[in-house]
Amino acid sequence: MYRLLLIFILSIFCSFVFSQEKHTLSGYVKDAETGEALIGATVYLEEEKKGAATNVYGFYSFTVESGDYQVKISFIGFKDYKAVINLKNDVRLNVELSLDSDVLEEVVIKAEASDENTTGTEMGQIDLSMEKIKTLPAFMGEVDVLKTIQFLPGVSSGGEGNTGFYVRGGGPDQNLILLDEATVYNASHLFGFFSVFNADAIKNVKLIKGGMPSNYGGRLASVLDITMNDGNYKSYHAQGGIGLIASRLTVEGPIKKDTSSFILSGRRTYIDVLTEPFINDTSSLKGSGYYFYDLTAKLNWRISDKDRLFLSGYFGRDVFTFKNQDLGLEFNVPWGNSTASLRWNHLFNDKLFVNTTAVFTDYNFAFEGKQSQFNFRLGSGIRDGNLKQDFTYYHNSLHNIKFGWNNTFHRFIPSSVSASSDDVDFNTGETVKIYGNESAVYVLDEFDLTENFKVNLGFRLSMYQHLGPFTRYYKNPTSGVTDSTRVFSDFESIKTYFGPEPRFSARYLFRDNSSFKIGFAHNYQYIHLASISAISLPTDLWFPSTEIVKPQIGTQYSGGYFRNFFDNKFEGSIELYYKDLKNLIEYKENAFPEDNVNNNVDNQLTFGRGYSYGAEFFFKKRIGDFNGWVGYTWSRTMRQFDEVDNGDWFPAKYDRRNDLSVVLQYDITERINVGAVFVYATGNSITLPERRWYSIFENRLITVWSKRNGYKLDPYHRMDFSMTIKAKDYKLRVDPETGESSKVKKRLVSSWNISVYNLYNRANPYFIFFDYSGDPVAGNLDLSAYQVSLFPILPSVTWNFKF
Amino acid sequence: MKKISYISVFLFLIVFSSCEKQIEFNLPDVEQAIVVEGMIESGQPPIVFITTTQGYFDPIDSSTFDNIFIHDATVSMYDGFNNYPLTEINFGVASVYTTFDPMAFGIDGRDYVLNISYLDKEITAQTQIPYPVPLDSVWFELSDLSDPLDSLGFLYAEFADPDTAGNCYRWFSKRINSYTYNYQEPYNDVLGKQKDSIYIAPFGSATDDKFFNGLTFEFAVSRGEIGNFEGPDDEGLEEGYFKLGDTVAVKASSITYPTYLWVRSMEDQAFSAGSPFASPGNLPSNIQGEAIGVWAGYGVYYDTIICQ
Repeated sequence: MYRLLLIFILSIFCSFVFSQEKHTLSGYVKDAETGEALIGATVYLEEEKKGAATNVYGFYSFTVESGDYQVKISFIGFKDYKAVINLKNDVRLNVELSLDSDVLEEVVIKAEASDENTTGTEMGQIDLSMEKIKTLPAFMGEVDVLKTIQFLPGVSSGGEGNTGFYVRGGGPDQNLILLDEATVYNASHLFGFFSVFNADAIKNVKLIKGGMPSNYGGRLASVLDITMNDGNYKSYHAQGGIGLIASRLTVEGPIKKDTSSFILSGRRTYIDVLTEPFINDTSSLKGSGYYFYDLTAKLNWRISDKDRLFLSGYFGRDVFTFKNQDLGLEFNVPWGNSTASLRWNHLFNDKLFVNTTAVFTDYNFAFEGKQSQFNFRLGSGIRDGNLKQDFTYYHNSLHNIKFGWNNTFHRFIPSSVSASSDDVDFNTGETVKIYGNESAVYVLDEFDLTENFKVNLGFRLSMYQHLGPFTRYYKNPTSGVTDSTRVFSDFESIKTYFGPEPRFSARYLFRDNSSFKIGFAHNYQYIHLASISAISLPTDLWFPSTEIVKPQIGTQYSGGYFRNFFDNKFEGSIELYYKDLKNLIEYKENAFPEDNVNNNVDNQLTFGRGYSYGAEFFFKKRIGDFNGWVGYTWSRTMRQFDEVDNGDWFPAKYDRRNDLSVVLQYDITERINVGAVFVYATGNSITLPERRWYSIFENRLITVWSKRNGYKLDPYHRMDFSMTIKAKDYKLRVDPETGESSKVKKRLVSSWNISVYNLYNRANPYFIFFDYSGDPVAGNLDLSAYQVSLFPILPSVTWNFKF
Repeated sequence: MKKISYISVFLFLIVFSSCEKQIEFNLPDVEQAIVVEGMIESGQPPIVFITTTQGYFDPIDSSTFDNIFIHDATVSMYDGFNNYPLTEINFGVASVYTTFDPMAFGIDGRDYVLNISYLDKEITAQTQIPYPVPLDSVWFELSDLSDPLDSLGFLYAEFADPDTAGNCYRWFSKRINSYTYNYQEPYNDVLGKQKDSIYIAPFGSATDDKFFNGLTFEFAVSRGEIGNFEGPDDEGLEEGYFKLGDTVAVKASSITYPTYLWVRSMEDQAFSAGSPFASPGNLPSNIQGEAIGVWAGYGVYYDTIICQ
């Protein structure tokens, strides 16, 4: 490691010394039709045989010796840009690429294949284009990026129809989900059946499941970095869709042409509206219902060639109302996220790019219940203010240096409870808020050590401080009574943690278009999620590290062989990983949410460790009429908690020995596309009732459970199918003078998407329950296990339009 | 406070298309555990049942109870002053360990240690009979819901919680009047029979005082059911309600914190049976040694009211 560091420093030093005769070629790459920045477009210098990719704002920069260069800029689905540049001075080359399909001449799309799979140092990083995602089968017609990433190797689904995901044995809280740089805490609607991301508003989705580069941190397992569309800089457009359960609409356009633009997207479900007329006015459930909606907005402004501003926001809410007039029972469960981020891109010069971001994030959950004269409210929430700066220094074609800092101030309300009966307010304690400050500095350099050997070396130093005000409750374990409390004053530092986080990855490129990569990542996570129930619910609590809750620490070692075939048309890879996890968190057995009253949530927690290892196989055909991928993962994930099963190791709930996904797409004609998905996964681990006894005083059967996760459910498998039919996007116009007909583009472009979920109607286990009937004393008791499956074959149809 | 269970109700509402099927599990043979279930109440003799667990899916028939009772254990209770042997009394296949020594009958405020020795196993447990807290008043109120319920309602009580934190309570009631009419089969012969034979605890019967320490307040209680049994009025309109004319004996008990934790988890397990949202967890036993179960002291306050 130290030798590498020495070489690294020397190489930077040397390149400074000899950099006098060098010049920089830099600029932005955009879509000619919409003005949107193209992320990950390849800029290639033929003479240097070197390529660079544009960043998330479409910016690239190269520093090379002066001379004439053939520059080729390409992006999948777009026509290549080629030019000869005489680099005598620094050159700014802003390029607009146009789509490579011309409806007037029906040219077949010729996409240039990229070799990023083998040449990059990234491991376990996948970019997904929204165009591809939109043609895949969609559950209930709602296109969902979180479900699509579950088809990738190393990513396990959280369950039937669920957007929760588990990366390489990590928990759902160990995924960092970013929407335009803002952290999204709960990315799901409706108990996880839908994600909060409206597909029309999204430009790019990047998943990093392997070694996280040091510019990301705060989570152990993965980063899901979602970039929203900027909005069309050239002209006004609207698009949307009408589906079975929800409809959505997006409008976008320039505020000032080529300078500023906006995009606004909205979506709402309407099950409640559709079913309302069918609920009898006298029904005891009248007034019950469920809906969710979300709004996404983004404004951006190119102030100058060097400065750009982006303002993006998200607001989403789920509202569940349940009324039962017979029982006099009524409750409301609203929850949702809001985020706002303001970003400022600035180019100090052609080599130094900086992005400054200010983010506000808010997540809230409430449960409001009412029965007769008794009122009850339980709430929890998180509010974050985040400021960060990320610098990219394009030193020369050998070095690409990133550095920056990040500071987040968190305010958590793990639990606020109020209860009253008529006019008596119960003592529900002070609402305990937890304040914390999380900060980090990082640096990373990606550089070519030799022609074939490329290294990405990074270091991140993170710090977390638990700050006052805070009240610590010390509980008597035998009586449950508070023995004493300790009160901390405002901004008093209660506990500070430091996390040194080295990150390293390297790639060795072989001559035959294949490469070998290794990675190492050491991560700290200071905020945590504990689930009181067996599945992900909005009631799950987020809370930060305290003097009791230590930061979770993850260390991942990975290695892989990557190979492209047939001129990069096919990509293949095999990756192996081992991951070690410390300070994992669970609720103690028999923990109840109401015990958080006059108490600290962390007094109800227990801590443990875990490990995970596995092998991932991935084979993908990227382009052509017929494309898709096959991913297979073999893995093992174990946990150990001192207070669970006497400290024995047990398999994690999502310990999956086998996980297979097949995703296929075929363009039958220009206008008809079909897609199919098949998944197979080892069943979830479950804890089963193994024994029972009869309580004579209570007249009840009492269950004695097996060891934690001692059994497996049946395997999960399913096939989905989709067909997208585009309406003709041109009409024929006959020239009255010549009599020749020509094709003219229509203003309104529409398509039908037909999806069939669970094509062969597999009854996959969602959960198991045990029930009994009869009377044990009379000796006619019948105990049975039942498996509940959620979704049978579910066809859906969605009409999408764009004009 | 059964939030989790309420949410499972939502889910069932939403997932109109879900389907269920009965499945078979082949559970391996696991070693059975000893279960101790003991109780001592103000002014009453201690009652201790010692049984074993059974395989979850073992058939339940008339012979089931032949094998679960553990006989010939050596059982004694220590009250801080004396040690009282508890003798085994058999009735049929069942047996109970108790004593008729009036000195061993429950006294409020006293600690009780239970010692059991069986084969090579030494089992012990400790509890206390906390001082009972009287109810200020108990009354009946008709439900203000729709017309058909014009004779049905809940019991209400006013209660002053002592200022010391950590009190735990459990509510029981028993209707001691008789049925004045028959119900549909198989309850067509209940006329004239006493409505409840034992004190019954409704769901949510136990609480600690963390929400109301030192407060005086009113609360409502519904009528419970006897565990797995279904009485004539335990389904349909009358479920959970008391009825005009009922005479109800109320047993308001003080319990220890470990007993409260056991009762709360036991009720939660029964209430959320089969819910995917409940995490499987064994009941927090207060029995030490190679056994599970509960040894509970009850400090009781009795009251009787006529629903009018």
